[in-house]
Amino acid sequence: MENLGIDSKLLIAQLINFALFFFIFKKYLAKPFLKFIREEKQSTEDREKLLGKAKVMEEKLKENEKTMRASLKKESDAQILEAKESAQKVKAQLLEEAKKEIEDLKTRAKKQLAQEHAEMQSEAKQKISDLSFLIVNSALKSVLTTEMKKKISDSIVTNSAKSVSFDEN
Amino acid sequence: MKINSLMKDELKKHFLEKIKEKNDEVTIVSAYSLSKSEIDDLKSTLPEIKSAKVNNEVDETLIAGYIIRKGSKMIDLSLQQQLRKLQQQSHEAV
Repeated sequence: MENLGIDSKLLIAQLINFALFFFIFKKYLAKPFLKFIREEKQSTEDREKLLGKAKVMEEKLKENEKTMRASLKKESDAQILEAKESAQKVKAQLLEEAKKEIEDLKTRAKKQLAQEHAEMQSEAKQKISDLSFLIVNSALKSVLTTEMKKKISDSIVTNSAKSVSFDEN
Repeated sequence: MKINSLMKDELKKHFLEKIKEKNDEVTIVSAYSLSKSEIDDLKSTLPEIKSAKVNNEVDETLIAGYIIRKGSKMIDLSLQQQLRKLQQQSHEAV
């Protein structure tokens, strides 16, 4: 052993040293160290479990959000469609009312126009009649001589004699 | 104040006569002045004024013919009235 360069005493001392170290390590250090490692391992597993759960929850939340978004979109689309239909109905109703009002206005305007036309016609006739009367009156005044007036007067009296009677003034 | 009955009768008679006179009075409105003979002719033609006292008024706007007034009553025989009737008839016909 000595020829191989190994010091047997030193080897024995190192063996004893190792045995002592092993004994002390096993007796005082190995348990807390193992406990620490186990705890660390447990803690890591717990964290991983929590992470997994969080991921699942996140997925679930995402899914919920997606569903809600879809539901909201569907609802808003339905509301928009309903609003559009309602607007169309209101538009149609307003158009119908406007048309009716226009028709009424047209009818009234036609009626008024006809009435005004009739009034104007009547007024014109009255004016023509009045004017004719004035012209005839004036012409007769300037043309008739006293003799002619007497003849006319006689004629009126003769023609009306039988039918005349006093009327209240 | 008492009024004597005789006086009362006299007054009554007087006013009745006045009323009768007034009622018997006739005014003939013509476009020219009427002579007595013309008035007589009219009296003979129109029995309504036969026994009435006639006054004559001139209104040239009548053109021809007469308006005879008796109190509040009248007979319109003027040419103007005839023309007005004609005007009315023509207006109604049109």
